[in-house]
Amino acid sequence: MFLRFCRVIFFACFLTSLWTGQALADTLIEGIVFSTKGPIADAVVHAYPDVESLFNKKNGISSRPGEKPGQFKLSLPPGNYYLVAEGMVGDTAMFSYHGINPISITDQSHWMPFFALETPPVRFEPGNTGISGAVYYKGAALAGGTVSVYPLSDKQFRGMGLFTNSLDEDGRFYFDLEPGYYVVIARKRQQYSTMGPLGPKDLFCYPATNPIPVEEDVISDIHINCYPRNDLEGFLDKDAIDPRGRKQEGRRTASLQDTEINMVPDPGLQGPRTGVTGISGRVLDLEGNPQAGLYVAAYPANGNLLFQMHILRLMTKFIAKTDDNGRFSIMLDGGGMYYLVAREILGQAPDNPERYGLYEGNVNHSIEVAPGEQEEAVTIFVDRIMP
Amino acid sequence: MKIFIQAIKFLSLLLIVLVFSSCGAKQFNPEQVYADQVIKSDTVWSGRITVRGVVVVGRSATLTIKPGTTVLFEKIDSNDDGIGDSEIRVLGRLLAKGTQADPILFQSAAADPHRKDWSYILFFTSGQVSVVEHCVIKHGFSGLQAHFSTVNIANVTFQDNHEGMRFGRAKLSIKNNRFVANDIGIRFTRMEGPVSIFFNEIRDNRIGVFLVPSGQNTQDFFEPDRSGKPWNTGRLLIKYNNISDNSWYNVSLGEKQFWDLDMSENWWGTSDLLKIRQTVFDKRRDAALGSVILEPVAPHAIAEAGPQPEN
Repeated sequence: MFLRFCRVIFFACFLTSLWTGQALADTLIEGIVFSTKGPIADAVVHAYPDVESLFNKKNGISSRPGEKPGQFKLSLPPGNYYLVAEGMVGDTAMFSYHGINPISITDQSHWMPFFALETPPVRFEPGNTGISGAVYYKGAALAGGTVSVYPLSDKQFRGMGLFTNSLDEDGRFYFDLEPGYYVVIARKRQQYSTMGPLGPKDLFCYPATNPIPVEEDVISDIHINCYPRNDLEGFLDKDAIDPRGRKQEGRRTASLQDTEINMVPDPGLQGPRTGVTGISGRVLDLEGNPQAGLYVAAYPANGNLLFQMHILRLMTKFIAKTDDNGRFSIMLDGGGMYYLVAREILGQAPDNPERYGLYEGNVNHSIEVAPGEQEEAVTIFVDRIMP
Repeated sequence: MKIFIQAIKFLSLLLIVLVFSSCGAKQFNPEQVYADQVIKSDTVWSGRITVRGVVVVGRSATLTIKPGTTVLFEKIDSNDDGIGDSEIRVLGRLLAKGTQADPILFQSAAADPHRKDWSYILFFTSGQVSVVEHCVIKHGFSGLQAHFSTVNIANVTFQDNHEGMRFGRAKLSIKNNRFVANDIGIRFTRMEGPVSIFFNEIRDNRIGVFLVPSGQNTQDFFEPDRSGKPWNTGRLLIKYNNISDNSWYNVSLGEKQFWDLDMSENWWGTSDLLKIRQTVFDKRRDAALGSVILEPVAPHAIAEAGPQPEN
């Protein structure tokens, strides 16, 4: 009898521990989904653990309604997720891919807004093999932005991807591609730089039709709408339902800021750490003055013992920005040889009067980093090019 | 004792000479050999210099090469790509000012020299204005390459290179030079400028002038805010040159180069437009390409083209 009692108690404790463990492990994500008309009632947010699940719409965890129209609550175990929102405005399907995906969910709660947009279906036309399209913001063609195409294996969908092109004055673009599936994302920045995380009011443009299929001798023509990052005022139409009428302005504003802080940083855009592989040092001008606000990029040399200048045109994820004293620290994901460049602008060819400099410690402009070690006290000199 | 005093005097004199010669910019003796090295302070070359590998002129340095200097590039092909590795890479400034009587010679060190024995004189993201005058450049992959740099090139003979010159985005004055017996005289990948190509002699190459889009540029061929239309008008000028007798084409547009290229007011060895067109590879041969604008054609050979005597 006593043994049976003990078994029951033990089993109850075990179940309780499981339940409490689960309750402690899940993190509550709350937020609101907007269209340009205001909050989207009954919108649902889905969290997918990986790209395959995202595009196949499997293994997702869906939100439940929040307290007010458009609001949602989503409980997630800590981990990395791709978050998307879906809803209807009248008969029109709306969709939002969060611009900081994949998002790292820790044990801290988040308030997360989504800006949802309409995406017309892909049009397939006979012609070359590739993707064409047009990008719009608030119904007007978006000129001067860039559009990048990524293979599905990219998973992060950041940086310049497989190819990056500029939008023409009609907001149009075209890529010659091999048959397959691709993710297309357009962006327009308010800042001069073309790499690194988007800032407030920068436009982020992700079509719900991603991934875009490409078939032989067929042009997949897509229509992409944009929203401004962290700029609800800019996003909402003038006649939209103003969520501030619901006395949430303070909460919303604070939460938007939280969203920025909690984003998964781009690799390399992080401060110095110990015990990891990395390169740190300073950027100076020719008079020895520290140069603040410059990007320092490390490009894997891929075993080339001769300097390959074309590699500097490619994308790297190992980037840091110099502080007020010209100091930088780049985290690497492994040892090896890296070309080092300091410059003002990333993602574009160098031009006057950009400050630019290669590492000059050797003729290869490279640093050899052992796994798990930091190469420190690296100095790069810059000056303004093409006088 | 007298001999001893004379020896002391001689050694003192030698010491004084050595001390003075080490002041200011470094003066190197003839027969200097440069292996892989970054030059970080102002340096002067004269006599006979051998480059064995890569010499980088650092961002804070000026390399001055005296008239009459011979710079020999040893053939080292470490990556087995058929192109010699030796090069001069200028991040700072190069002042290579020869004279008509004493030109500066850049060429292969091989006894039996060939094109591509060495890489190039490369100007890359230089922050100063470099000058290359009265030089002869031979046996390189490219005699000279300029990217994101400012260089004035005058009275230089580019001969027996794979490419005489190659440039991308750069500020260049290319004047009174001779491009002869190269595979390609001038190859360029951007139409931006300001680049002026005036009064040059471009002959007896396989292709005289070759414009190709940059195949490695992950951004657009043109500036992002200027895509969709040619915008080089007035910034890339190719005029008053004698361009003739190039065995494949006097001028050729590369694949996917669909912008028109203004090459009016040049002399093509004839004023017969039909004959000139036969030496041009453009839209008339491949509808996907742009056109080379030839007219008005210069009515006669440009007398001032090619290297000129010093004033």
